[in-house]
Amino acid sequence: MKKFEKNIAHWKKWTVDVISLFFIILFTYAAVSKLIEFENFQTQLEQFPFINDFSVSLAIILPTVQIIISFLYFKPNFRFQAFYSSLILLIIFNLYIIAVLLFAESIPCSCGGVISTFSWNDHLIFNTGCSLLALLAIALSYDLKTYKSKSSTNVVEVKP
Amino acid sequence: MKTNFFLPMIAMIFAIGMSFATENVEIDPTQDYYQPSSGVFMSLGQEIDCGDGNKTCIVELPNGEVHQVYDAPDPNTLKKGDGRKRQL
Repeated sequence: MKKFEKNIAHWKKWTVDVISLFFIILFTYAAVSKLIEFENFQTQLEQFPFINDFSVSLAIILPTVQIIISFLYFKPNFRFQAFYSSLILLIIFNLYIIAVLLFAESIPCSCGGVISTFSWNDHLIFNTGCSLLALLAIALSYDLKTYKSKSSTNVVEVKP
Repeated sequence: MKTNFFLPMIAMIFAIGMSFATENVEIDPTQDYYQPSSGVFMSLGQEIDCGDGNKTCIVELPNGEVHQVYDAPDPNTLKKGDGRKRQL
């Protein structure tokens, strides 16, 4: 039974690690793509509804936040914060896309690299999938934390 | 411990490389472009059906601006069609 639990914990840890790598790639890729075509990205933001007044600040803040989140994944101690930050960022982006789809007419996409071929609906689906991944990683991380504290308590009980 | 650091590092380097590698993947057959006054090409988010003909393809944006349509973010790729103005 204990071996089974250990195996499950191993798979949970492996899943959390893979999701972390996925978010590092996603956020680094998105941030660097924006920075490579910074001028283009800023001009596109200027034409976006609701946020065009903050286009310059957003063009700097957004890639910076994405890079900071990517670095948070490097330290296992900060994984929780990293997953929560990713989830919050994705939710904000999702809310913005929903607002655009509901209240704005068709507008050009601001996404960098190959993701620029996504339509707004594609983006909504992709972001929702990523948000679910972040939620899964948070849930698994909590499980692992509980498992670790439980097993360490057991060790203490066995020791005497 | 080493894996904990190196694997994210490799992932990050991979992502940086990928973003440079895909920088010019902009000529997409499912997308057309226009050139606003800023000079920076913008994606129209879709391909415009310009019809048959040899006249310049023109699109009207939701904000009322009228622009010529390009196949790629390149001034040499002006799209031709029947000359009728398309609504986005």
